[in-house]
Parts: sequence; C-alpha cells; structure tokens
Amino acid sequence: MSGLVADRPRRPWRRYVTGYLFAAPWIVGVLGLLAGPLVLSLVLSFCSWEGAGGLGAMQWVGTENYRRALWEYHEPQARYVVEREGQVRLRPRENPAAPAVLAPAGAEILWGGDTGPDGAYAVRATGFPDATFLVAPADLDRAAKRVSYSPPEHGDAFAWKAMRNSAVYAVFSVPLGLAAALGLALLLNRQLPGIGLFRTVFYLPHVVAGVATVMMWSWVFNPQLGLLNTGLERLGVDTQTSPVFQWLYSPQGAKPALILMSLWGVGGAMLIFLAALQNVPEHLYEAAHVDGAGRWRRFWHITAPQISPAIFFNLVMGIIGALQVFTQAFLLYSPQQDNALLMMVVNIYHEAFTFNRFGYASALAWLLFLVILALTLLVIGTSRWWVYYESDR
Amino acid sequence: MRRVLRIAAVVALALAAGWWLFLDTPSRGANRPGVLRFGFWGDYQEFEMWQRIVAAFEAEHPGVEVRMEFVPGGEYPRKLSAWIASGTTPDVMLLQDEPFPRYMRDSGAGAEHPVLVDLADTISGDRYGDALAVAAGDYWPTAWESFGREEADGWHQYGLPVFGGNNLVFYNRECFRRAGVPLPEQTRVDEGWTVDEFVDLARRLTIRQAVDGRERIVQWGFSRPYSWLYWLPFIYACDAEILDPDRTAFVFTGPEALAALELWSDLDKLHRVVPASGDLGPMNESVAFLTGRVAMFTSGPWAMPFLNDAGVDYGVMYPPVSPSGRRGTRVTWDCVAVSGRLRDDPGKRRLATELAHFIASPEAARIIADVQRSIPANRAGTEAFVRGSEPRRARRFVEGLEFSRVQPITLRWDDMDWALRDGLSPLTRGAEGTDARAALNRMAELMLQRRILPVRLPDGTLLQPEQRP
Repeated sequence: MSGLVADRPRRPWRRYVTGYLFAAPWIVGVLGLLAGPLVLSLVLSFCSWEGAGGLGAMQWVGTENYRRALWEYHEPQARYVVEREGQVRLRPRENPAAPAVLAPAGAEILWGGDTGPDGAYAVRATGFPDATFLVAPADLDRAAKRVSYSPPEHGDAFAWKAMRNSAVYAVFSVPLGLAAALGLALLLNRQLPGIGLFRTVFYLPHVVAGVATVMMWSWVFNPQLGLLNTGLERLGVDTQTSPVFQWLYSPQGAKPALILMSLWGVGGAMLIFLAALQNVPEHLYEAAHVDGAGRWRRFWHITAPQISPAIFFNLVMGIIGALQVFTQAFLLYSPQQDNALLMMVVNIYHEAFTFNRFGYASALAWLLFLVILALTLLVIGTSRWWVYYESDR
Repeated sequence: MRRVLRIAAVVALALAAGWWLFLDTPSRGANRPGVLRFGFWGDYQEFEMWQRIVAAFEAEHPGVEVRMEFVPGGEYPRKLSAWIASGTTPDVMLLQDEPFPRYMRDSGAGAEHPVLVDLADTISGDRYGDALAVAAGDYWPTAWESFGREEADGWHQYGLPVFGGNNLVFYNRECFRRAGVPLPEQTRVDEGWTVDEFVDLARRLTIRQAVDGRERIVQWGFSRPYSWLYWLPFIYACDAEILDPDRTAFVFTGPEALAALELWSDLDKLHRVVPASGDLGPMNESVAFLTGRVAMFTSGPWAMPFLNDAGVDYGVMYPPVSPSGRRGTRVTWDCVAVSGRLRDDPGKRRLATELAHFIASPEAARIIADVQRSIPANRAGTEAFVRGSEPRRARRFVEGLEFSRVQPITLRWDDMDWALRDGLSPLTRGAEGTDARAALNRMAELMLQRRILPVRLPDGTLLQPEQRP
C-alpha cells in the first residue's frame, strides 16, 4: 500500500508523551525521594536546624557549618601545676605594671592559647577565680609542671578523625578487596567438577544480611573465645599481650578487624571479575602460549588488559562503598576503640540523629560527597592510561 | 490515542497508589476523629504491657481507636527526631527524661510549632475540670519535676511521668556460694558500707583458676558498667558531682572526681576484680551475670524481668556510702506527652490528653507494676510493684528512691554524654600514659572545646567554652 495511500501524518510529541508517561513513576520517585531531599540537604548545610519547629525554624548561617568542620581555629590549651612556691609571677593583665602575685605551690595555671604583648601567656589561676594574669613562659618551665596540653586544632576534631578513619579503611580495604576478589575469580574460572558449587559458596556471603555478618564476626574477633585468636594461639602467636589482637576492643585492632571483615563480602566484585574473565577470547591465550609466554606474562599482557574495565568498575564502586561504610562500623562500636571506627557516615549519623544538628550533618554529608566525587573523577581521569576497551582500538 | 489514554490511566493509578501508601500516612492517622496515634518503645514484655493499657483505655472510651506505633528501644530517639523534623509526631508519645529539656525549650511560650502541648492547665483542672485533674503529690517528686519547668508565667508541665527506675547493685547468689562468701541478706553488708568494703567484697568474689596451664579468672567480682551513667552511684560514693546544683556548669573536676575515676581504673588495673576490655566478648552484663561470669553489676529494675525469666537466683544491694556519709544513685523517668501539633485542634487535644492521663493513672500504674520492669511513677502502683517476684528485691528499688537523684541532665545532654564517654574511654581500655587525671582533664577540655558547658574548677574558677582565660 505504501506509495498509493499516504501515511497519516504522525504527531511527534505523542511518542515523547508515551515515553514520559512510562517513565513518570520513576521521575516522580526521583524528584520526590531523591532530588527533593538532595536540594533540601544542600540548603540545610548552610543553615542551623535542630529539627524542631518545622522548616521555618531553619536559620541561615552561611558557610559556618563548613568552617566549623574544616578550618575553625581552636587555640591550644595547657594546664600547669605550680611546684615551687614563689617562683611563678602572675602580673594582673589589666595592669601589668602593678605588683605581681606569687603563685602558691599546688596552684593550677590555665592557659588558653592567648599571649600578651611581650610573649607572656595570658592565664587564669586557681585561687583567683575573678582575675586574669600574664605569666612568663620561662617561669612556668622552671617552677611548674605541665599536666595537660591540647595542641592547636583546625576544624572539628571528630569530623577530621572520621575522615582519617574512612581514608585508612579505604586505602587498605579497597586494594585488598580487589586483590582477593580477582584471586578468587581466577581460581573459580577453571573448569573443574563442582565448580558451580564453589562459585555459589564464595558468592553467598555477599547476599547475607550485613547485621548477621557483623554479629558472626564479632564472635570471630572475640579476644578470649574467638576463632581467630584461638587459631593464632595454636600457631604460637601470643595474642594476650599485643593490643592489636584485642581486635574490636582496642584502637589498634579495630580498624584491621574491620578491614579483614570487609573481605568477607568480596563475592560481588568476584562475580564481575569472573564474568569478565570468561569474556577473554581463548585464542589470545593460545597465541601467547604458542609464542612461549608464561603464566605471569599471559596474565599481565592478556588477562589484565582484557578485564581492566571490570577492575575500573570494581575500583570505583569499592572506593564509594569504602567511604560510605556504615553498618559494620556502627554495629561494632565499643567504647574501648577510642573512636577508631568513627567513619564519616557514622559521624554524620550521630550529628543528625544523636545531636540533632541537621544542618551541620548535611554539611558533612556534602563534604563526603565532594571527597567521593573528587576520587571518582581522579580514577576516571587516569583510566585512559590503564583501562582497555575493545572499541578503542 | 486509546493506547496513550490507557497508559495515562495506569500511570495515574500508580501515582495515586503511591500517594495513598506513602504521602498521606501521618495525616491519615492524625486527622480522623476518634483515632489517636501513640508512639512508644520497649521490648516484647513492654509491648504486651502497652497492649493491656491501651485496651483498658479503649474499653473506657468506646468509639476511640488507639493506633500503637511501636519502635524498638534503641531506635526510638532517632525515630523521634525524624517525627519532630517532619512535623508528624504521634498524638501521644512516650518520652525519656534525658532529651526532655530540649523539648520543653522548643515548646515554651512563643514557639511557632511547639513540640509538646503544655498540660499544666489540664492538671489543675482549669481546662477540662476535675475529670482530668491530677496532683503532683500522686507521683514520686523526682518524676514529677523531670517533666516540667518554671517559666516567666509560672510552672509548666509538658509531660506526665509514667515509670522509671534507679540503679542499684545486683548480686548473683550462686556466685557468692561458689566463692564461699556469706550472702548479703545474711550479713547486711550494704548497710552503710564504704567503697573500700565494696572493693573488698568484689575481691573475695573473684575466683582464679588454672586453665590450660595459665591462670584465668573464671568469676569476676564486679562488672564495671558500660556507661558513666551506671557509674553514678560510685561517683556519688566518692562525694563527686557532674554538674553544679543549677546544672549550668560542669564540676566533675576536683579531688572527689579524681577519686571516682581512680576507683574506675583501680578495679581493673590494681584490684583485678572486673573484666577488662574484651574479657567478656560481646556478652552483655546481664548475660555475664546470669551465667555467673560476674558476681555483681549495677542496673535498674528493667534488668529484673530478663533475670526472672532466666531463673537467676539474685538479690539487690544499695551502693556504698560516701566519706561524708551520703548515699546516692541515679534515677531516670519516662513520661507521656501530647504532641504540639494538636495545639490548635481542641477536640483531638482533649482526647490525646485523656489518653495521656490514663497512661499516668493509678489503673495503668498497676498494669505497669505487674511487669515489674520499672517503678510506676504514680505512687498508687507501688504496692503492686513490690508484690511481684521476691518482694524484698523490688522493695529495695522503691526504698532506694529516697536517696536517688535525677540524672545530671542539661540542654546539651547528648554532647555531654559523648564527651564523658570519650574522656573515659582511654581509662577503660587502660591506654598507655592515661591515668585518672588525664581522663578528667580530657573531659573538661571537651566540655570547653565542643562548647557544651562552662567548667567550674574546685576553687570556683569558671572557664567559659572557647573563651580565652
């Protein structure tokens, strides 16, 4: 019929309308449940809001939340106890020319980082609740003992600690996880009887609920009764003296424990590697074999380039996942860890839902986003040198 | 065209279903007359208790339906924050005393969207007459005071106390027998005992045995609490205080505070009568106690149902007395309050107030007492509470209220709690170079650095947060 009867002219917008209608539930979901909260959290990050009083109670504070997290300056603090009576001269700050007071033995001198014009410390002293004095640092060095000192700090110590913890966790867990996943995938890529069972077994931990995994591992890491220390002791390792072997109950052992635990879930990355390995053309290996290439050279010159897109994908997802680790760190918290498992997301959670500082928590969340974005862009930027795509040839 | 219409109809249906399922949820419960939302937390025993209380209320109020919105214990504060932030708090809710000063601040005069409704005029009978009038004297004083405050125009009551409990020392009789130590009820060891006598008892209860050629402690005399809050009886036993009387300054700085932290540290390092980090693994104190790994621990009446169900043979002692002859411990209360959303909805507010009053009534107190998990705040429930399993044990908690003190609660409670935990942490794990003095300094520094509270030194010097001396 074509050519004899003209087609009815179709209205192009109809096709778009149909498409948009199909996508409508998704669009509504993204706008309502993702974009809306995203924009709100960005606005919140420039506000102070404790949750009460509705959104109208939000107070605009500009970049204060970011300043507080990153660069707000905290003076050093020191506390001295006078040991030699009569040798620490306290000059009244209001009138330095006035006769000095001699601090008695046992008096505490408190310095908050402020210095006077001649380099003297501006201090307060116990026994003189209403006065501020100037004291020469040399006097304190000679006749007083420093009993505590907090160095000057920039930003929120907890936020920085959380950033450091997340960074350390990512630096160790991501490469280890990639290596373990690739190693397992190479082992499971062989054609052996029952290999399907092995693949299932190694993938299984990945689908087990996070909380159940955490509970199991908390027993494994038990310093007294746990499997790990029992095994180490059988190997002659003295697990009772080093704090590292206290695992989740010491600052030294908590992060290594979490990193080791992260290997339990490498099944997901392993599966992607396995799929990539199975797509490597067999004839490349045969050609290399004919050319006399050994196992290592075959891996380095054929396998690695061929699966580099999978490595790239797992690396990006690994970095994002490591920096967003929450469940394990949150559930394995113990007061003996000295906040060793205070990760960025855990800190954000506490700021929002323990301390009700929703504005500050939003700022921390956006900082985390920027960190992840920067690292992802870095990996993408470098990928042109090490990721090989068939279509790029 | 027909196909487009069909797809449009399907999408519209999906959107409507989504709307019905998610967006309308809070208002559906709140707007229908005769339906009240009640938010609460707890374990399964408490859930059954609340079912009984709600059923009793509904029986008295035909046509009223109470929707129980249960949140598992630990998650309740977070859920509450989300409710408040989204303006969807339940009509009536159970609240703890720790964050309550913040709720009162956000509900006071001039609050555009108050978190809670002031119940003072219902208590006096001004608004609803005698039917909804209660008297402060019906409740334990510490409970009543925890949920109200004096404002410029008089006393405001934002919550009605429901139940609570105080911390005492639990002891496992089997552990005493195993160690050959006479039972406390025979010796009345806790009558005016000192901290030194307590430490001596813990030492006698600690049993060492050779296991696999190595000496191991198979029974610990005492379990040092997880939180500084449960250590408060011993802080008071050293004559130390956390806050000054008007709760505006941190005063845990003097020699008494140092003694309290030294005791904390010495129980592990010097006396070796408490399990150190990791000695009990993930086992919590209650489980360690019921299995006989620890002979004593501090807790409140909320530990009793679990221990009773497990069939543990245990008793309860008073904490030691301080050098100045003072005995003290912590008491914590929970209350029921009415959502500030109902301020401009008189009908629903009256109904919610009726439910709140019922929950704080003698009738509900008797149901609460049956569970014996906490002391009813309404004194009418006291006898029923004591009549439960082993009356002597329960009576100790009630009698202990005489020397129990409201927790050192401030507006910045969570921050203060965090700072104290953080300061105590190195001491708990026995970190190198950390002693009680360093822990004390760390706590004071965190109070100042995190702008939580001013710090008052023993000589009266007041250091302001982030203020240069």
